[in-house]
Amino acid sequence: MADLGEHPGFRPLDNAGKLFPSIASNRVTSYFRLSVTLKEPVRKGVLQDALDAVMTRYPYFQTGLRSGVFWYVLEDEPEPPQVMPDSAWPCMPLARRFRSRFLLRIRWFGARIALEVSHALTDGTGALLFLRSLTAEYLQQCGHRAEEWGDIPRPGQPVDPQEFSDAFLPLYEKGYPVPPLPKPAFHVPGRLVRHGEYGVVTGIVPAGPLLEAAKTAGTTLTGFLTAVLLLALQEVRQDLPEGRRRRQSPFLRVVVPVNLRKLFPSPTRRNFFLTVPIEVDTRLGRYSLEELCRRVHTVLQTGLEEKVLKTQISRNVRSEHNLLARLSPLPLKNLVLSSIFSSLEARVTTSLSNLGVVAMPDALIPHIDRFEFLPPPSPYTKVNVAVISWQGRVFITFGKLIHETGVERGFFTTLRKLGLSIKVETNQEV
Amino acid sequence: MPYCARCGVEVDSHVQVCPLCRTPIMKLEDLPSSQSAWPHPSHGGTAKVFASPTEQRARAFWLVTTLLLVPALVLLAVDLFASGHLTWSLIPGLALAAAFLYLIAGFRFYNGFLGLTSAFVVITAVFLLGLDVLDGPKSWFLALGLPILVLLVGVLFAAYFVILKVKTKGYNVIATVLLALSVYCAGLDGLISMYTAGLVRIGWSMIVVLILIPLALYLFFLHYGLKRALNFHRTFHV
Repeated sequence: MADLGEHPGFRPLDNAGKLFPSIASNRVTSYFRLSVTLKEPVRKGVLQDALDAVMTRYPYFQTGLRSGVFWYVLEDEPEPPQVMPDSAWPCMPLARRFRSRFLLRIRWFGARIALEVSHALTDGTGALLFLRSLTAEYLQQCGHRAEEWGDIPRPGQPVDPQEFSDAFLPLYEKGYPVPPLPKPAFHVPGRLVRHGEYGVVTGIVPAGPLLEAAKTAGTTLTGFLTAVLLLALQEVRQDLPEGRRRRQSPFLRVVVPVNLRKLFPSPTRRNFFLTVPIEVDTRLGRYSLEELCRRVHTVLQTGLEEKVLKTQISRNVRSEHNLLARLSPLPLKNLVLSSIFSSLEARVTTSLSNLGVVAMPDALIPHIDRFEFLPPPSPYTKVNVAVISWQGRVFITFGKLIHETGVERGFFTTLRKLGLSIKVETNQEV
Repeated sequence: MPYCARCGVEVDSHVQVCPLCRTPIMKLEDLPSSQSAWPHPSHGGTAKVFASPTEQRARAFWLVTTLLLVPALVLLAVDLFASGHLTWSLIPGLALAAAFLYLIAGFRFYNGFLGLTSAFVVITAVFLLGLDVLDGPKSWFLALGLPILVLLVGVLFAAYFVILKVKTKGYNVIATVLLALSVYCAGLDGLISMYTAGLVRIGWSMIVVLILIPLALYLFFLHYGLKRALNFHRTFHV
């Protein structure tokens, strides 16, 4: 395995990843999921061989979580993880016989390969790159060769030590101002599902008409979908009984994760993202979709400014460098970070994450049906949205921990009213 | 492809209800049936990670039974061994038996207020009767224990149903609780004086009543009266 640090075998978590092991619970698992559905059933033995090969290119992902005295650390594992069967409830804790210290899982069912990975290890961009490598290697081993892989790392290539660097640290400036703390946000009401369950509702929309609708609205695809989501949340809030509505916060706040590699180029495969909060104050009246699109577009433009993003980096890294925080033992840190996480989640209504269009070598495209993206579960926000696009189709997935369907129903019926055709799939079939 | 008549979204042919609005999906006979993209919940080795609520209650029941039964048996055994018959261990044994019955009632009637409360009242009455039988010749259950229990349950139920029935809850809930407390204290004072002195005499409870009732009335005024008084237009017909 490649030597990637001063202390081979042990690596610290990155600044964003440090939070997740401390807040982990039966519902806050910190696992998100990327999956690829092929045109032929998956062969388990070939998948394991492909995984073994790809892990040599991503040695920093072949790690397990260990509790240190002051922090959690990543410890190298001698063998790659074993592939395991998929479950009706993704991203949830595993049965005892499947548990391991790995922070990622490769699962399969039918023609689908799924990668479930903890945010302690990497973000959506890093995970997608890994899945693309795995998919290309698996198809190659099945006999579908592609000479050029483009930007997809392949086994046998040298590993750049910068791929496992914490890219937040070089951007930190001591004394840089931090952003103000927002007020608590509206939370979608609902009855939580049983422990161990996680609802998935995926809407498949043709990309062309959807992009056209976004262009007509004067915004990007992410901005347009965020506006539609805010419209759905507004309706959910409006439908509450008056007394209950008054007790809820009037602020709808959707956070949109942003890949920082585009603004601050870095080869890192670890977490390197921040979030842009988009807020709507319902006390000002009911917003139309057009108003929401304009608002979202403006906020996304200003929120993506380098100076604005660096205030968040300042806040995150400053707390890590705090002497009291560094000297506190891990159990105390876990308690404090759990309450900080609760406080942060109280200020967010939901999130919408868009990983964009997936690119694969031309020779392999005919063997792939789709990619899908599922956000990590949260009992606070209860419903979160993830978006990914493949070959002219946009896959919009709601990950939910409640029985009620108000948010996704409002979202998809808005798109339907705009004339878009939508196919909906779910793992909660009655 | 089948679609939901209400939402307009398409679904797979094997889907029976719309995932968004739960409207039944009309079956189209000539379409090939499809299969779910997800494994059955019992497959994949991850189904039984968490016990069902029934299994959790069953486990808790056996744990509680063991935790209460073992000390009870130890008490009885020590008493029997030391004195040849059961003496001092009867009262703590009765207390452990009552605790066991309370927990059983909790497991059995956990989702019904009336059932749970009724079970608790019966168990408390039996426990008090048992204490009366075991503690000596002077009987107090019928004259004191049972009336106090009836008074407490009556006041609690009355307060509960009054609070349940009010449309808007606020200060009126606290006021109702304070009123219930006043009635209970006055009743308790009367019952105790009846048992000890043979006549109903209100003593210490007068102080409680004189504090709590004006406070309750003030809270009722805050809840019902102040809202109206602050409504200038309605009060002065402007």
